[in-house]
Amino acid sequence: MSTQEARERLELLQGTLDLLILRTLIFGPQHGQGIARAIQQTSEEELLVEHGALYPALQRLEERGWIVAKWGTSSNNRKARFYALSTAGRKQLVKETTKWKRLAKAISRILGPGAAED
Amino acid sequence: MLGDKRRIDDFDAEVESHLQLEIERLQERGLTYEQARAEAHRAFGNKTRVRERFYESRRWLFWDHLSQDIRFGLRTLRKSPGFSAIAILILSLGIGANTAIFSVINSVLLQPLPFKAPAQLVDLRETESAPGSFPLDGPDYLDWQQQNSTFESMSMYTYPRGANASGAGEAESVSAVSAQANFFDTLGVQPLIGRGFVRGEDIAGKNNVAVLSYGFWQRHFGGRNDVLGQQLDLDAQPFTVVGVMPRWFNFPSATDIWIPADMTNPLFQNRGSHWMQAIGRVKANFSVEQARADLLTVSARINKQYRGTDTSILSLVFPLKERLTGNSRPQLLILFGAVALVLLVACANVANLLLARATARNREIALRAALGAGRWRLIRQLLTESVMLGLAGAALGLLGAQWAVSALAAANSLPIPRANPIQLDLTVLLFTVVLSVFVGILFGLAPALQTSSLDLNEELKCSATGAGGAAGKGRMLRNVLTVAEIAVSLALLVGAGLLLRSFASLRSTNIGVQPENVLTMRLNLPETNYKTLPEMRGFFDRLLTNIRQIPGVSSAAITTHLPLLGGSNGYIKVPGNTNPALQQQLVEVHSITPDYFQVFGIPLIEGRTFTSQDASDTAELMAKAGVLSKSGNGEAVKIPAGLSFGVIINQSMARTFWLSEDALGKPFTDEGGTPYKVIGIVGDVKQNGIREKAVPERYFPLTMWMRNAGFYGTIVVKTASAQTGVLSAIRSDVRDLDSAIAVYHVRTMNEVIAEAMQDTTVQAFLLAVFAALALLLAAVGLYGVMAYLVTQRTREIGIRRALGAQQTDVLRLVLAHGAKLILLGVAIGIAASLGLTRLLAALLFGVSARDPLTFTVVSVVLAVVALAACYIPARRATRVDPIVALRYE
Repeated sequence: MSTQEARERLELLQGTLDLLILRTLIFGPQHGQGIARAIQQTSEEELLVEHGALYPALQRLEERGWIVAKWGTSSNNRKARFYALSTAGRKQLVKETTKWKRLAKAISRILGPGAAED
Repeated sequence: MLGDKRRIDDFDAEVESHLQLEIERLQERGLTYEQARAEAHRAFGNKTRVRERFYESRRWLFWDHLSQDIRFGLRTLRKSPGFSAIAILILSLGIGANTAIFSVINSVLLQPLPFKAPAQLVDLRETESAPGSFPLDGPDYLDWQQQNSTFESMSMYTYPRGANASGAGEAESVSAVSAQANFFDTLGVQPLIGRGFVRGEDIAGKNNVAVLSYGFWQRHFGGRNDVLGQQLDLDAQPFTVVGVMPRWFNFPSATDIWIPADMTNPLFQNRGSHWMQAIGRVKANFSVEQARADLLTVSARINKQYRGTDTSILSLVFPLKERLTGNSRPQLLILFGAVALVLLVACANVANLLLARATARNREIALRAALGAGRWRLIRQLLTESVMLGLAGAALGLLGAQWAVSALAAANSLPIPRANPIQLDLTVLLFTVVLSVFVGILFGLAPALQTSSLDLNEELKCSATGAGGAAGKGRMLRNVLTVAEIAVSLALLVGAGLLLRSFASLRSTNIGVQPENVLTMRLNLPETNYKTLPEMRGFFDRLLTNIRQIPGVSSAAITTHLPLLGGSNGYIKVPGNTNPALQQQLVEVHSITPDYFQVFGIPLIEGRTFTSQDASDTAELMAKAGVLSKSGNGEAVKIPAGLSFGVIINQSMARTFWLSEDALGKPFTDEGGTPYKVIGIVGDVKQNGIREKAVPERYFPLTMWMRNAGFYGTIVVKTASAQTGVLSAIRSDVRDLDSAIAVYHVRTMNEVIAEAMQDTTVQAFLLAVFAALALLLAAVGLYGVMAYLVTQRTREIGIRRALGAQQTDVLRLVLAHGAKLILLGVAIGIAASLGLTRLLAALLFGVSARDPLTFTVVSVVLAVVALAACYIPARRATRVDPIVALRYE
């Protein structure tokens, strides 16, 4: 079933996306468009984040209490909704980062040096 | 922030602002507005879908995840139908058994009596030394009613008596209770149709009205509404039907017809004749305790006034519910404990299954964890699955319980007095649902914790064989669960074993009669047509003569009471004996026709049995004393000096009152001073139940019982072999003599005995079923653990084989592991049973709660079954091919 596969791929993206959002917010409050920009730029355009996908993720993080949101004014004087890390979010970020690093290490170990050629 | 949700337009505004910001940024880079707009929208992706997802996420995350978990769980369970079916089946057995027993407990112990303010209702009895008690006598009751200050009302009622009912429909025998007019009002129950009794209806001449039970109304009158005002004859006396009670009303138990008592009956003036029951409603502002104290003061005063001392006969006040529930409380709690243990074994079993499966799922779980699922999220997912299993088990279990409960309710097979119907009601359903969720968490938690604590690195590194690190930790847990299963099963088996041994010793107990081929049946001679002794005696003489002529009948007799079922008793005085203990020794009274001892094969020890001459002599003496057709039981029978009634006594009585002296020919008197002389001594018979000892007893000729009009008795007939035609021949003999009389309650003596030990039978049966269930589950669990172990150690076994280990070595290796678990389980089980069986002590008969034989046999049986369960996987291990095993990875 193709929809099934699509959802599972999204789940993979979600886990990662959450982490990236939290990471981006460590430099201070930012609105959705700013976060999308930052991720793209920091990853040297390697990660192509569909901007729309950010919002469900932001919504989820907000519901979990890891980020807080407030309407404010952007640098070019537009109304925008700004997101900021909460204390719980900061802790979560540390936790997720460690986990991610371990996972990456484990996966790369399995794939091994020759895996890329497959 | 669950309740405080963002509105969708707020979200739309945010998306709009995002797009504007992006367009502006792109324009700064030199794109035209149109280009920038197109690019911003492209980068954003599908706006509608994002909007949808926002909309979805507005629902509570918890429910979101729950439905996700349920969908996922359903898929997982469907993917392994074998596992799911077995787990659900095991759980349904455990939960179903618990539901069935709980529904009994719910209706008998938990629910209040279905009467108005039932906590204020009490049962009234009298006692000489609590906890023993006896029925009330009339004058005491009337005094209590008048002199108390804490009761709103009191109402007396008789023990149910069998009566022949005729009128509309066919004649049938019914159970009738006479009660004071305020009976229904005291209970606080309204009739379904018509009315109850009204004030003043409980005196002779006015008490010819009847209230019917729902069941009798349906059976006899087809449930028609025009029953009110119809005439119904009870033992040829006419009554007018005035009301029908609601279907649930069942007090006293199994009553068909309630009629008003005659409060002017001279029996109410006879102090010392204890024959009736009573209930009381304590005033709302008084407690049962206060009512008890109040009546004790009253009864002490009555004692002083009429009996010389103030403590001889005291009142007993107990909550009515306690009286009705009786000794069923410990029985039910023990059964409940037993099914709870079965459920625990079932849980351990399913937990074991889950653990085994968890190994296979480790990679799936690891992958989910790698994809960002937190540990709590994983545990929740796994627990959702196990709770779903629990609920499915409950659904199946409810079907089984429904069947079991209707069998219990219909067959009346639980010997429990009850006022509420036993059924699966809302309380029971709630219990089952809560239980199944609890059970799901109980058996799912350990495996879930186990599985979710995976080391991702380890797990993802491992190859597909599943010989991972978590499996090692799982093995320990599975061993613990298996040992627990064995221990719990042993405890249940010991309980069942002890009850089965009690059952066996009850069966083999000598009650003093030979019950084979003895047929018993009740019959009543209505007092309207049988007023005098010659009328009654004439009927019985003719009937017995006719019955004896029926082919196959070897002897026949009439008796007032059957063995085991209790009867009347009283005190006697032996001239010259002043031992105070003997003055307090109750002696059973039994009236019989001469062939009674022959019918039951009761041995004559000394002297002689009755002849028909004794019956005539007794009748003649009673006529001389002028006591015939006069009411009153305890009244002295004044007969000419020097004469006495000949009686036969049992060995117990001879031993108790005359010790080593020869009792034959000895005189004694009853409370009223009537003189008797011992003409024969017969063997002891257990009159008060199989578990009771034989007590002193005296037998009178049946004519002694015929001083009052009317007669209730039992025909006992000994046949040469099991004769089927005899009963219908007896029925037609009775009909030929008087067509208004019907025999009823026909049972063989063996059936009477079986009924007397029914509670032990049912307990032993239920506990044996539960124990067998637990044993089966434990064996299956052990099999699973061992089979899993063998699979896990295939490679090791292969190496051992390759290095020269023989098949027997491998067999020993596997069996030794199983035996260790079994021995540990048995040891723990024995220790636990030694503590637990004390709770059973009251239900046991002729066997100690620590009976070494039971403990030994049960342990051996369990060990053998468990070893057999290990043997199959062990055999498989011996067939491991070293080459295949070494390539296994």
